[in-house]
Amino acid sequence: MRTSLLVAATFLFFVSSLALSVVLTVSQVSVLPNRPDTTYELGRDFITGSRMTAAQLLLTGQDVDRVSVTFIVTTGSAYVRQAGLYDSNGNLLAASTAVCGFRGSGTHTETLPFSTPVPADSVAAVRTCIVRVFRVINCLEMPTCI
Amino acid sequence: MYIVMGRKNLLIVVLLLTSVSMAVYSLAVSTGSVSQAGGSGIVDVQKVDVRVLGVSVAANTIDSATVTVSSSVSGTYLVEVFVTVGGCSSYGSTSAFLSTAPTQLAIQLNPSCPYDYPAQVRVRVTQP
Repeated sequence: MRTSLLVAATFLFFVSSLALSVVLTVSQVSVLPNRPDTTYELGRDFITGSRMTAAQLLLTGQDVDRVSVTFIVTTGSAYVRQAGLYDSNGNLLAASTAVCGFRGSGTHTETLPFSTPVPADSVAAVRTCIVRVFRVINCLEMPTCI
Repeated sequence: MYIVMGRKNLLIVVLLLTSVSMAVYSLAVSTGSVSQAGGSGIVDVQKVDVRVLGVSVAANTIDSATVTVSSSVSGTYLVEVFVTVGGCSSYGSTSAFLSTAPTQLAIQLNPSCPYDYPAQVRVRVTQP
């Protein structure tokens, strides 16, 4: 009888320890953010001062497949606009299509697609750039700025 | 040993050893949680996905930033923004409830920085 009680008590202790382990593990995992800092670089054209003011990742499911950028053009001219996604080691995961063409003075918003979707959780840095191209015809050379 | 100790005694020993190891593991996990919560909060735990989906800054003088963030685990988080523009650095933070739905947060920065160089906006999300 005493041995049976001991077995039962030990078994209960075992089960409660197991439950406690599971609870603590799950609670610890669920409260801590998993991400390092996320960095956004907003590009600026040194000659004209035209600059990016916003970048927004757009997801399809869990993957980033587009980025919306907002930029201010101070001097109407041809500009190339592009964005890149980087991992926490600084490796380029994907570069967007480089868009090139004339933009007048004012605020503009564009969506730049990535040819290869990138898992959102692997993106640690987003770089955007805007660089003046002196003539629209130079856009035919398909310039990039990432 | 099986014959000497008997089946029940052997079971008791095994269960006791397992229980003690479970208790030690639980203690290690809970202690680790405390020390990590007091640190930078930047750890590589895959269960939670905090996403910084976008940033926006003012056009001329950067005195505020709007960030879009989400978390796979709902709760209150500390969102910090570090801005570097040329030689100027500024900082701002706020506490906010985050969930899987993207949340836009407007954060005041101090000091303000003129936007005369490319701007780097670094966002950190931790549990306060």
